[in-house]
Amino acid sequence: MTSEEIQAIFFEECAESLAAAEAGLAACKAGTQDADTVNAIFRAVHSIKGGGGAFGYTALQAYTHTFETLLSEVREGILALSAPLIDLLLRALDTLTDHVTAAREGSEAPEDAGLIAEMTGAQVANGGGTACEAGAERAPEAEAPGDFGDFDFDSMLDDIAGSFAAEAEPAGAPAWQVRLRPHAGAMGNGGEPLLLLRELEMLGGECMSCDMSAIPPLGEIDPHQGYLGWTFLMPTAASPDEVREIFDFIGDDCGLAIGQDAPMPPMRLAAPASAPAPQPVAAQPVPPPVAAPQAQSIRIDLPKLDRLIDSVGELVIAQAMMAQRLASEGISASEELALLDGLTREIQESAMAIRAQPIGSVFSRVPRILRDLAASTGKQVRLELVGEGTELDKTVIERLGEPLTHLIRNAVDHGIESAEERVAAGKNAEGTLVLSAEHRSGRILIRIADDGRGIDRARVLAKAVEKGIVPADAQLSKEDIDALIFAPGFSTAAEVTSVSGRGVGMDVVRQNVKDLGGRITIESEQGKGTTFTLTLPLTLAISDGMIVHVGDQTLVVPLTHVVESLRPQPGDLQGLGTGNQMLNVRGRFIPVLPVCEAIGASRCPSEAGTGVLIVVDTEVAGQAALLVDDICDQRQFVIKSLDTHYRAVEGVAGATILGDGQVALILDVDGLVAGALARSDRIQPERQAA
Amino acid sequence: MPAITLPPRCDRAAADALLADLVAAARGGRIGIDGRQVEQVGQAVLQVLLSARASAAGATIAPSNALAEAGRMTGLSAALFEEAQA
Repeated sequence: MTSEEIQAIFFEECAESLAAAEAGLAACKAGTQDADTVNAIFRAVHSIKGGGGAFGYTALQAYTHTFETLLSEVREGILALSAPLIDLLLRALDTLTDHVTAAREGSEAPEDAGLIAEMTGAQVANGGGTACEAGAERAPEAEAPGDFGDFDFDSMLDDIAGSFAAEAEPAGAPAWQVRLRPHAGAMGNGGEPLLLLRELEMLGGECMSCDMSAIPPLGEIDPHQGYLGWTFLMPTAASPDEVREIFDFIGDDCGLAIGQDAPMPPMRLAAPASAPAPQPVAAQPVPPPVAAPQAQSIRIDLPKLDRLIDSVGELVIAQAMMAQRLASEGISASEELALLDGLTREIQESAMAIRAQPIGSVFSRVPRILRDLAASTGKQVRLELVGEGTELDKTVIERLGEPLTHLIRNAVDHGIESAEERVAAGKNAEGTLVLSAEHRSGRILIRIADDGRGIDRARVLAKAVEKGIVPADAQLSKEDIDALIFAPGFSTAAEVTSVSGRGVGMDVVRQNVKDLGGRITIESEQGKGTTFTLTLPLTLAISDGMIVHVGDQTLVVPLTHVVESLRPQPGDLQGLGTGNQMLNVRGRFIPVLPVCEAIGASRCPSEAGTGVLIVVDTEVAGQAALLVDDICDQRQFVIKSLDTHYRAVEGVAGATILGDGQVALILDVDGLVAGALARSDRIQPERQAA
Repeated sequence: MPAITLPPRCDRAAADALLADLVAAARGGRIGIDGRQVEQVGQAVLQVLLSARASAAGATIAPSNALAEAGRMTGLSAALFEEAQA
């Protein structure tokens, strides 16, 4: 494994650690301040520090060192976890996130001097913060509780220039010694013992001597072996546990002896110098579990997993082909076939489950977004998360971040009112944003609900007319007006802010969601708030669909759009204008769209009465009835991109291979209906029957 | 006097290359090592430099700030850079 690959793992783990710390601090803010929660935050920051040190990200390492020192006071019960301290820790976490991003992208480290000073000053040892009663007993040298943030520059300098700490020791304070001898393994897999020495210095340690007696002559030396041993003098302020934590990461690969008279650990040469013992990399940066034992896991390259998913897709197709072949031979009801069908579905679900990740990884970014928004808009928003453990496909998760961020920014900027407005309206000064996720019939529903002012429909309509998006005399339903905010170039913000209001976002949000095979809907009540609901597929690879015949074509209608199917009675259909028909569905009229016309198939049923109507729900045009010849099956299908294999085609979302080996097009129901309605110039898709 | 220039990044890979160069150069007498471009240095290269200093031919090292700092932190300044130690 190369150093780059190990670094990539480090950054993945940083993301996990940052999410864990964010979750822990959110729990602390909500009142859960038990040892497990505080430990989890500490471990997360400690883990980033260890990796940062090992890869030579000195700015990241120096910053996390101060952060970790402050957290260790909280963990040891010396420092009370007050509201201002949680606020400081949250800000510190935001800057830590920026540090990790800077390290990953090789960009300049963020400005952190102010925060380091604040964190140092907040430590009880430096006279800041509020000491716990128990902690105060344990730390008798701690001064009386002072004002929060009243920090001591001398202590801060001690922390930054650790080597001075030893000198700052009170006269006669018993310093102690640590001896260390890194072995070959400590230098493998991107590890560097000198970075650990630097950490000792940051704890206030000072190198007393280096044992280099074992260095062989030039002709015999193997640079990959460890020949050096060091003796460091540590100040009393540093504890042996802190030193051991530095070396946790490399385990047995560094001999460590703590104590005044402890002998230098012996040298240990790796047997075949040319082949250094491989390190179990994935396990390396993970500290031993403290509380609950963690489930075992392995890291897999995504391409390997994608190959598995592809193979499973082919298996689904092959299974369907075999079923069809057997059916043509008259053996359709065999027990073995049902068993194979069940197993295929099980394998497919298991393969998909490997790619599944909890949506919490996306939700965990939200508190940071809200903090940034609070700083720029002055609006305080309380976040409620529901269903963070809901799992969905990794690709969907990765592509969900951007639209979700925009919706949240939009909710805070446009939805939630200022504190004064809220109080005047009889609401709590602090806004509430509820972010929830749940599985529902093979889809995932994500809701972003605010308790703000709701959509001002009169204003939205006026703006849409002004921008020429709809004609001035258009009669639009509430839903149609709400949907206007997704129109390209639409924005009601009086002025463009850095947060939102450029009128490009919501359009892009809808496109992003649509690209994921999902839909977005709005529910809004003036004065009460707005809820955006995203309905997304759990996976992008396999879906359920209705197989239909239209003329000489076999097509797939994704089941997510299908509301119902019916064979209309003559009285159900009403003519409208030239050649257009409306279907009466329990008192409501919806337009009938002959699919054969839309896709240009030949040998179509001449009129709606002879075919089957499939009522579909669309995002842009409400409901519509697709006219097809007949429905022949409902089954899973493997989605093959048409863009990749051919080119994008209007009204077609992709293609699939049917059981008989035939290629069938998957209808893009939204695009098809919107296109057909635009062509037939039916501006009002829905009308309530009189 | 054979001269060898150290790269900015003196990691394990650099140690292998440096060792080969030093073994070859040591035959020509005292080695001059130009370490003024060094930005990062690890234990592997320090060990090779120490070995070169202790060799019969001996070596003189001109350090960069980063290399001098690494010498200070590891307690090896004298062993690496002081002429009396050669």
